[in-house]
This record gives sequence, C-alpha cells and structure tokens, in this order.
Amino acid sequence: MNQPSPPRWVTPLYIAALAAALAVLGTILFMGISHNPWPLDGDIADVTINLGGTPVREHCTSCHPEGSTATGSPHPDIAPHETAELGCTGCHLGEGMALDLVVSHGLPGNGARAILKKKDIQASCYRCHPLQPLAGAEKAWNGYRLYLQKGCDSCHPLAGLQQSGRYAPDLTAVGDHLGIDQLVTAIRDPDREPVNSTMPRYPLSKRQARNIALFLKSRTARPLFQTPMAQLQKKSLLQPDDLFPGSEQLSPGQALLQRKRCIACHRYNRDDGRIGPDLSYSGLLRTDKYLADFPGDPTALIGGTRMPAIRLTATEQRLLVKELRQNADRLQQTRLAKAAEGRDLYMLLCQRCHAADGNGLGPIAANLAQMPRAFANNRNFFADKSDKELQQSLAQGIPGTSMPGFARLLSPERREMLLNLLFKAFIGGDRYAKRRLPELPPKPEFALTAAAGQQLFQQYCIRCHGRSGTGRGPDAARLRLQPSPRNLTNTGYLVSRSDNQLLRAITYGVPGTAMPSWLGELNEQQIWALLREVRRLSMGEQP
Amino acid sequence: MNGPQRNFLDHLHPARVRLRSLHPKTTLGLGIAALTCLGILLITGLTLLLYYLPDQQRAYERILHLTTTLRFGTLLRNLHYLAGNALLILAVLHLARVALTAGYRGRRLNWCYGLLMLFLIFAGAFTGYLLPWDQLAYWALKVGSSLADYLPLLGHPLKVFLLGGEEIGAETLLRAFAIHAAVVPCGLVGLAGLHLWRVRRDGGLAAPSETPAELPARPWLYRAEGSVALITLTVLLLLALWLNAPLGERADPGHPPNPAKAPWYFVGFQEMVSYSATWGGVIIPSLMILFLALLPWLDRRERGGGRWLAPGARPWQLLLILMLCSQLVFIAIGLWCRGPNWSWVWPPGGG
Repeated sequence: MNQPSPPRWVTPLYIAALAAALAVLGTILFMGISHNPWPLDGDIADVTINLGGTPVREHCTSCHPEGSTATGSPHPDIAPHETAELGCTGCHLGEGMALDLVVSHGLPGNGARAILKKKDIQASCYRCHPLQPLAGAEKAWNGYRLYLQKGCDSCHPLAGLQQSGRYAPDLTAVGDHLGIDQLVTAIRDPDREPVNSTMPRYPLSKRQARNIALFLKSRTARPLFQTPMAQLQKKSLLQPDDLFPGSEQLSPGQALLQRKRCIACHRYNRDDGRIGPDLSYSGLLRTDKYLADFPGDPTALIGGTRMPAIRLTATEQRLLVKELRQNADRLQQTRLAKAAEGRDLYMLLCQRCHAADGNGLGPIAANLAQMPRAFANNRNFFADKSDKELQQSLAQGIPGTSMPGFARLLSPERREMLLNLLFKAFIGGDRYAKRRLPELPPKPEFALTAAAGQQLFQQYCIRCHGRSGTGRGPDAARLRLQPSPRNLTNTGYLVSRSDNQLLRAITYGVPGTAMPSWLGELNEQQIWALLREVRRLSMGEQP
Repeated sequence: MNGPQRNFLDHLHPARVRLRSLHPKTTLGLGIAALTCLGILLITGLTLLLYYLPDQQRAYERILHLTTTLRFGTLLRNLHYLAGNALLILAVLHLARVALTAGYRGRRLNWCYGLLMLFLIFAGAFTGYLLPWDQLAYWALKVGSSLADYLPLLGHPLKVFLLGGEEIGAETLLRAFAIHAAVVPCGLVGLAGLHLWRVRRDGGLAAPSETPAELPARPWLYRAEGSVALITLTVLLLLALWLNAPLGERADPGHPPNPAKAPWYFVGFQEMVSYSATWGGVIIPSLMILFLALLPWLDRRERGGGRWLAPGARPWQLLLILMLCSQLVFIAIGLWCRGPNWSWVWPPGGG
C-alpha cells in the first residue's frame, strides 16, 4: 500500500494553535489573579438584612463603608432608623447584589431600581409609613396632596384611597416599575409613550410633577414593614376639607365642584384647571338634564371624551345644576352684558377651544374628543357651509361634541355679531359668498352588501379612522393629524348629520382636514356602501 | 506514537485516515469546532450551575452576583454565552457543509441525529436566554413563544409545555432551567456520541471512492482536530474578553421595550411574521423544517457524497443556500432595520 507523505502543515498549525491557546489562557489567568477587580481594600461586604421578614442581601458597603458617600462623607444620622438594621437598598434601592458602578446604581431604562439620593430618598418613606405628614418627607407629602387635588384619582386606581377611577393604569405598584425621572416624564409628557395615551397634559410645574413622582415612587406591591392587613386598611388621612384649605367659606355648590375635583381640569370663574372646558357659563349652554347626566356617563354624550365618569348622588346632581345655572345667570347679567363687541364675546366664550388667533388650537383643544374647527386659513370649509348651518351650529351647538349651543346665553343679535367677527377676523372674505356645491353621487340602483361596505372601510379608512372607527388609526397618532380623524362611533354627532353631509365628506373630502376626496378612487356604489358602514359603526351595531 | 495503545479516543477514531479528510477544504473543521463549543458549554455551564437559582425573585440578583462579584465570573458568563451562540452558528454551518458536499448520502440516519441535535441546540439557546430573568430575556421569550403559536398543531402545545402555562411565570423559569441544565446537555452529549460513532461506523468522512491513499490517524488526525479545537477555544476566549453577554434591567412584565425582539436567531421569523402571519409564521417555517428533514430522501442517490456541489444534488443545494441566505437577510433586517412599532429604520441601527 502506498502511503502518501503526511501533510506538512498539520504539525506547525497544531503547535501554533497550542501556543496561542496557552498564551491566551495564561494571560487571562494571570490578569484575573493579579488584578483585583474589587473596590477599596479588596474585601467584599456581603450582608444579609432582615427587612420586615424578608432577607435582603447586599454588597453595598464594599464601596460605601458604613453608608458613607463615594467622597467619604459619612451617612447622616437617621435616628430613629439605623443603617445597620435597615441596610441600604431598603431606602436607596439600586441593585445590592451587583458590585460594579453601572449596574449597582440601576441600569438605564425604566429606572425601577435606579438609586435614590439626597432629597429623592423621601420617595421611600411612605413605602412603610402610613400617609400622614412626616418630617423630611414634605415633598412626597405635597405630591400626595397634589395627586388628590389634581384629581389623578378620578382616573387612576390606587389601592387604599376612597376614590378610584377605572379609566387609567393602576398605580398601586407603580413604584416597582418606574424610576422618578420616568414618572416625571410620564406626568409631564403623557403621550410620548404610548403615543395614543388619553391622559391630558396637566399644567404642572417641574417641581410639582417631581413631588407627585416622589409620592408615586412610594407605591409598591410589597412594602417592607407593613402587614398585608395594614396595607388593605391603609386609609388616606386627608379629608377633602384638609385638601382644599378655606373651602368652608365656599357655597355648597362651589364646595361640591371642588370636592369632586371638577376644578382640577375645568375652569370655573377664577379657578382654572386648564384641561377641560369652562363651566362658568354651562348652566345656560346645556340643558339641566344634560348637566345632571353628563358627569356620570360623559362618553354617552360626547363620544371619545377624556372626562372620567364622576358618580354623583341625586342630591349632588341637583346641587350641581343649581350652582351652574345660578352662576351662568349671574355672569350673563354682569360680565357678558359688559362685553360690547364681538371680540370681547369671542375671548370670553370661544378662545379656550378655538384659540385667540382662530386656528382651532386653543389652550384646551388637544384635550377635547374632537378638535375644534379652525377658522383661520380654513376659508374653503366655510365656503361650503350655508349660512343657515353656521347659525344653527352656533345656536344649537354640535351634538356629540364639546361645542355647546349659545341660544340661551346670547341674543340673536349677539350671535350675528360673533359670526360676523369670525369672518372678518379669521375666515376672511364675504360671509354670504358660498361655493356652488358639486353634485353628490346618486343612490345606486343596486347597493353593495354590508359585508362589502365593511371590507371597503377596512381597505380605505382604517389607516386614519382605525379598525373600529374610533378615529385612532395608526396614521392618526403617527402623523399627529390635526384635526384628528372623526370618531365614527360617536353616535350623538353622526345622528345629527344628514346622509348628504356624510356623502359630501366622503366624496369630496373635508377642506382644512386630512380627509381626502375619494371621488376618483371609489364609484357611487362603493361610496354609498361606505356611508352605510359609517351609519352602522355610529349606531354600535354588530356586523 | 504509533504504538499499540488503544485508549477511548482511539476507539472513536479510525486507525487510518484519508489524506483528503485532513485537508481544511474538506470539512472546514466545523464539526470539531462545534464539538469544542459543546465542551466549553458543559464546563462553563457546570460552573454557572453552582451560583444560579431558578427563582423569579433571586435569579437576576444571582446573575449580578456572579458577573460582578466573582473572580472570572464575567468571563465565564461571556464564554458560556458566546460558546452557545457559536455552537448554534457552527451547527448550522456544519449542516450546510454536509448538505453541500452531499455527505448525507448513504448516511441518512446520521443526518437525522444531526438535525435532532440542531433542534436541541436551539432549545438550549432559547431556554438559556430566559435564565437571567431580565428585560431582554423576558421579552425575547415572550416574542419567541408567541412565534411558536403560529406553528400549526404542534405550536401551541409546545408553547404551553415550554412555558408551563399560557403565560411566562415562575413555572417557565423552572422549566427553562430544567430543559437548559438537564435535558439539553444530556441529549446533546448522548446524540453527539451517537453522531460520532455513526461517522466511524460509516467508514469515516464521506469521500469519493477514488481516493484510497491513507495515513495513520495517529498523530495526524489528532493534531488536525486538536488545532481546530484550540483555535476555537482561543477565539472564544479572546471574544469573551471584550464581548459582554447582554444584561438588561430586571424583568418587568408590564413594560415591554419597544420594539420587543426575539433572540437574534428567531428575529428572522419575527420579521417574516410581520409581513404575513400565515406565510411567515406557518407555511414557510414548516416547509423549511420539512425540507431539512427530508433532504437526504429528496436527493435519491446513495453514493458519491463527499465532494463539494456533488452532481445530482445541486438543485437542492441551491435551495438550501437560498434558504439560509434569505434567513440571514431577514435576521439582519429584523435586528438592525426595525425600530419602535417594528417600523423601518434607515440607516441600520439609527433612529
């Protein structure tokens, strides 16, 4: 048998590989053993503390002997607490088992375990202590008061409070999930994440938001020194009278508005929450029944509104209606009577939604279910609307939206004055010069099926109006469309629109909005099928 | 060296070996490299086993303790992580090599052993990903396990079995640990033994019949294999010095990162599902698995393996190359070109 000559490269490769492996292994071993990866003198403090029955293991004092800071200044006296008993992470959070600078102080991200320093440490006080004023925890206490004053509890559930809404995420354990900075961001910039958040942007200063965050950071699922029973029983020690000092001087109606946190969002005479519409005149803008029914079920009257349901007893309803009516009457005779010009009326009654410069982006516009109509730069929209329609909108309001009717509050002459002002100041052009409206597609002889209408809707409309027609399609949030796409499930609004009005919007689009004309794209049959689908959506019918 | 001693290794090796079997071009050393990774995984895994605790409250702290407090702790974890990923890549490449040289001809059973091992490797990598119980792990598993739902028939039961329920929870961690630390290593060691033994029984590496020239296996085969193993070890050690195994914040089931991505080897499927759940999630993956399982039967020849792009198998080989390359493209897109809400991001990694 002829044996071939062995390959010459095998042995050198083997020796080279062996040498490389040994060199790397040797280097690693040498480096690992000679280099001391641990801080200070190389000893690791491995401490286990008993926190209310939970063993907590920490290495913190390896770098912070006896709780000193990084620069060596000693831990302040925290009597009656003791650092030896409480450990570090019980108050300061952080990752006690880590021994490196980045991880041990909390990785970036949600910041759930981000280290708490200096003034922020008071975020930990109410994890164990009941909610009552505590020396050293003034900011967190103030945050708790703000939380109640601003009506956060109207929407957010939070264990242990008398009032708890069911419209927003439960905050009972929010301190376990988010850091203080993340909480501040969530409060001050609510629609950053998720973009379709309905939480309004509260007019809070940075400091106020931080105080609320300090309070919220103390809400944890498992407080270290509270028995489960104590947790269940924990009660707010704040009574509404403590919450709003000086409220005993208010009339019963005003006190009700304050106690139910109406003023946390709405404006009422001098008080202004800067989130919702002005209630000062609403006694004459809405019927008594509307005013009595609205707080208990706002979405029934304004589809998609952000206002949470506020439960009122029958007595409270009567009190509310009476208070609002009296106030509106008083203002009608005083403040409104003094307003001589359309401009004054506009600034008193319209600018909160439609903006002082008429662009529809008033101070509270972003919080309304449907964006207010823009007057400025929106001439085409008004050139398509007959003067009668405009008069009616102003007098009767627009059902299903925040636009109230002004018939009872303003005399016909004053409403004319306002309309004239809108054209003169914002819309421009002649009030009575209208465009000739193009023909609408005639009702086809053979209608498409309801299923075909649904399919057309899913094909053409859902990017803006959303799969279920609520006006929250992916593009609505992504492109931040203004005005936002119409909520097609808003029964109150759509019942008030005639077939012709809807056909016109679908066929020719709506000037001044993102709604395009579908004339070229869809035929008569399809447009009529879509009309039928919109009707179905608005009545909440099942397909 | 050529003495009569016959130890265990001699039993695994043939007495004589063809010259071309030694040549790097023949096998690219992928099998031995993968075997080395398996060895490294077993050794580092046993070390990690001393410190890990499969408990929702403690797992993350244990990983922190392990990586930041223990001497060589970071290195061990990095090495385990890298060897696991390297094993996955090497196993796929080894499979591609065998397919492209038609090495499965006349050795269908061994192809099946190999495929089983590949699935075990995926199971090991996937379960290992969960063990730190951090944000990355939790959400990658969430995505990965919901991908399983798309598979017909088997998908949902498989998911329920792996998660120990419909949702990820304490049971999931325990199961992932049991699978990762017991089922997968035992299965892999057993199958690897079978796999090697079959190679030996089938007469060494597949080779065209016209190359009879043979050398004594000792020391030449030993040295060639040793070189590959040592090079693999060296490269992994060097990588472990500067590539850190990822670690996020503690797992928070309420706060998904946006986007939540599967482990990188499943991102390709995630990307395909983003186009079409039926095609990307069911039909194409099923066809891929079926194709891999049936490849030795699709190519009906029994002989003539061992040569690159052997005639008679080329259409199937082309299909395999296309399949692997398309997966690579999907993985690259999913990893680097997808931002919040799985929207397109360009340039890659930006935005």
